[in-house]
Parts: sequence; C-alpha cells; structure tokens
Amino acid sequence: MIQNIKKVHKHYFFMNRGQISIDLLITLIIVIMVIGAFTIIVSGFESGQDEFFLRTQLRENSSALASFITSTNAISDTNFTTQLMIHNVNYKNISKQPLVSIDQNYIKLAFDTGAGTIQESSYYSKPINSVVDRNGNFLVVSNE
Amino acid sequence: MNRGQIFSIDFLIAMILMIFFLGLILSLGELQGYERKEERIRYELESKTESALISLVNSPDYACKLDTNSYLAYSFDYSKINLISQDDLKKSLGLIDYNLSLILNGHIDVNHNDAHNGTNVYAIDLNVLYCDSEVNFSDLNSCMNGTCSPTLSNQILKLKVSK
Repeated sequence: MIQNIKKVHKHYFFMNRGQISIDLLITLIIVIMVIGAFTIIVSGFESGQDEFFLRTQLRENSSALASFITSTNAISDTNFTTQLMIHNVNYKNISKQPLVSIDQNYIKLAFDTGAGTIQESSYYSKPINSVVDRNGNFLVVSNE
Repeated sequence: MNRGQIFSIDFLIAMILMIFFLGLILSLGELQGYERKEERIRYELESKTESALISLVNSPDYACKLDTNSYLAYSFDYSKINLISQDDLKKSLGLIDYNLSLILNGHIDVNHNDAHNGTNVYAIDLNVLYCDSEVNFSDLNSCMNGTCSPTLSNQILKLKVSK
C-alpha cells in the first residue's frame, strides 16, 4: 500500500519534456501583475506631475499679467499704451498659447489638455478709464 | 530551489530593492513638486507686493499732490490713505486675497493692518516722501536741499504682504 502511494506521488511530479511548471506560471503571472501595478503607479504619478506643472505655469503667467495691469495704476494720470507678451505654456512636449479671458477684475488663462480644460486666474486692479485687451501674443493696457 | 518554491530569496530581495527604489523616485518627484509649489507662491507674493508698492507710491490716488497740479513720484499722502478702508485699499492694489500691513518709520498704521499668520510673508522697505496734505513746490525745493518741513518729510514705508 505504501509503495503504491509513493509510486502515484512520484508519477504526479513527473514533468514531460517541454512542459512549463506551475511554479513558473505562477511566478510569471505575479511578475506581470507587479510590473503592471508599477506601470499604473508611475503613469498616474507622471500624469499628476504634468497637470501640476501646467497649473503652475498658468498661475505664474496669470499672476505676472495681473501684476503688470495693476502696476499701470502708477501712470493712470497720463495717456499711455503699454503691452506685455503672453508667454506660451508647456504641456507634455507641446508648447502653445493659453486661452486668455479678461473679466472686470480677473485675468484667466486656460489650456485644453484634450482630457479637459485647466484654468487659473489672478486678481488685478486697473485705472478706471483704462482698457485691457489682447492683441495677438500681447496683452495691451491703454488709457487714452 | 526546493520543490514547490515559487520565489527564490534572490528574487524577493531584488523585488524589495526595486520597490524601495521606485518609492524613492516617487518621493523625490513629490519633493520636487512641493519645492516648485513653494517657489511659485514666493514668486507670486513678490510680484504682487512689488506691483502693489509701485501703485501705492506713484498712483495719483495715494501720491502727494503739488500745488502745481502734478503728483510726486515715490510719495505717500497719508490723508488719502486714511480715507480708504483696508478692503478697498487691498482691492485697489490688487491684493484682494492677501493680508496687508502698512508700516511708516516703524509705526504700524492701525487702520491698515492685517494679522500675518501665514508661513509666507514678504515685506519691502522703501524711502518715500511723506505728506498729509497738498504740498507747496517751495516745500519740495527745501526738502531737496536737505531741510524738509513737517508737511513733507522723508520716511521709510514698509509694505508687508502675506498669504
């Protein structure tokens, strides 16, 4: 009886030539799962970083434009036209102009990422009679 | 390897090191992002404060007016500042989301003083001509020659801004 069991047991672990063991299969599956999980984590992290850097650029640019408009209060008793270049923003190796919208007291910069629009705004103060407008790549403030 | 063993100890050590290395890279990326955010806040604070100060000491709304109907650059008329509320002053200087304090020669202007509890505070000291009413051209001439009258004097204006 004992001899029979041993025989069966021995037969069970016998592998044919070219056969892949169950151990190797499990290892391969787990390795693929681990690599997949790492890829998802890294791509999620990269995507988050890309969005963060885009927001930072939009915020910095809108803040610079708002500061520029606010500074014109200093020359509000004169007739002037002044302009500042609107810089491109970079997102995933693409460099292009953000969409600019000018409200009564806020300047908003937006960028279409394809998956959605990311927007940042900054508050400004301008002289009562001055006009803020966009002319091509420039933001123009005039008081005439 | 023993029969039925899935991973060798070498493989497990390699995996642990790989996870550790990946974690290190991710945390370095997070740190870089955090530093970039801090840098952005500092840059924004500096740029807003500088433009607010330029407006404050040069705008006809706050600068000293001469009897010749012109305004003095880098001057500060306290009688005009005194009439405006803190909220209106912040709106006018483009600092609506910020805390603002005005300090003249070390004395805090109690009407224009916010608490600065944030971690990012930026302040600029600037030599300005101080007046509290319209200035005569003769007073300006005297001041330029070194004898300023009480109506027009040299003072240090500190603009303190935080978020």
